[in-house]
Amino acid sequence: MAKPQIINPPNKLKSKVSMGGPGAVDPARLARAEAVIEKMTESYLDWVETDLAKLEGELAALSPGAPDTQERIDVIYRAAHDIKGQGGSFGYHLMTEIGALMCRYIENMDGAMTQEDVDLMQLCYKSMRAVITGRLSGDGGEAGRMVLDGLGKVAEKVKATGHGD
Amino acid sequence: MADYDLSNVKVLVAEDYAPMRKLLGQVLYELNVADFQMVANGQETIDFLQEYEADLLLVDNLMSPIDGTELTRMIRAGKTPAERHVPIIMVSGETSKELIVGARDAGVNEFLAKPISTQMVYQRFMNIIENPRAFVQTDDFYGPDRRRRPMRYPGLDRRREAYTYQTPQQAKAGG
Repeated sequence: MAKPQIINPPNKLKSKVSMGGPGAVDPARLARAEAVIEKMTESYLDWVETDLAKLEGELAALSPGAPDTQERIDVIYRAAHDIKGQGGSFGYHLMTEIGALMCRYIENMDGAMTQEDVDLMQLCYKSMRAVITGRLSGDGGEAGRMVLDGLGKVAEKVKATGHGD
Repeated sequence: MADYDLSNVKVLVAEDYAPMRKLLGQVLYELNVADFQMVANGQETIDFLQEYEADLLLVDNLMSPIDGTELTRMIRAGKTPAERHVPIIMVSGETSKELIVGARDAGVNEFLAKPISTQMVYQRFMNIIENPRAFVQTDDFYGPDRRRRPMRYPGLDRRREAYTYQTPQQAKAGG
């Protein structure tokens, strides 16, 4: 094995930025930016409807033993993954939490999909739907806790696989 | 926190999920990045880089064809039109240890877990501007030094002494 070489490439990014001035990212600009992103929440609620509709349709069509099961699971996983990825950016942290749980559950499914798998994925979907319908942003308060409590069985199964992180 | 003017920086975003592209676009706009472009997967990134000299890439992982990890590996191997050392920030909803280690071993500079915020994106930009990592070239790796900081070790630093790096596979095999 040849000796590793250490290379210090030119820091092109640094050469293209300057410090200060009216266009600089100062705390005020960052605060404005966060406020603008927060205002995108209405758009988020439209976007997430599309994902939820996709989840609903695919889950309704899931049937243990059907030949298209894996394809549908893949679509469901992608939708849950997307929901997980954007919820927290708009203050809907419960959507990120439930999306993450659903992804973990699907990742840990082994063997043929059972009706229980379908039911537990449906439970995740319904919980997401409850969060959006109830506009449960942040931690969702008491209602948010109830939604998460209702997902206890999903969480237990994920934890039992040892991949709950 | 340093106040950088990013208006001359060119950023290419590779993200297959349209709402996330909109969010990232808005974040870059708010950070005053005047020139940013969006593509939807790794293949489009490679095609786009024929004409667009990006200063930095923001890449999702879960994309097809060519996911973010593979795209990074190809860029570091010099198999794309991009400069091999172009900074790459992976923006991913998947945060498993396997993915993060895989992305690091492919040669990403920074990892950003979704959900994102403007501040988080800016912080990653700052890391690359202020703390650029040296690149390491071995037989089977080209990318940012995977050791974030020099570790204080009271004994003989065998890495410094012999400069023999091990791949994770070799280390696992006890080689």
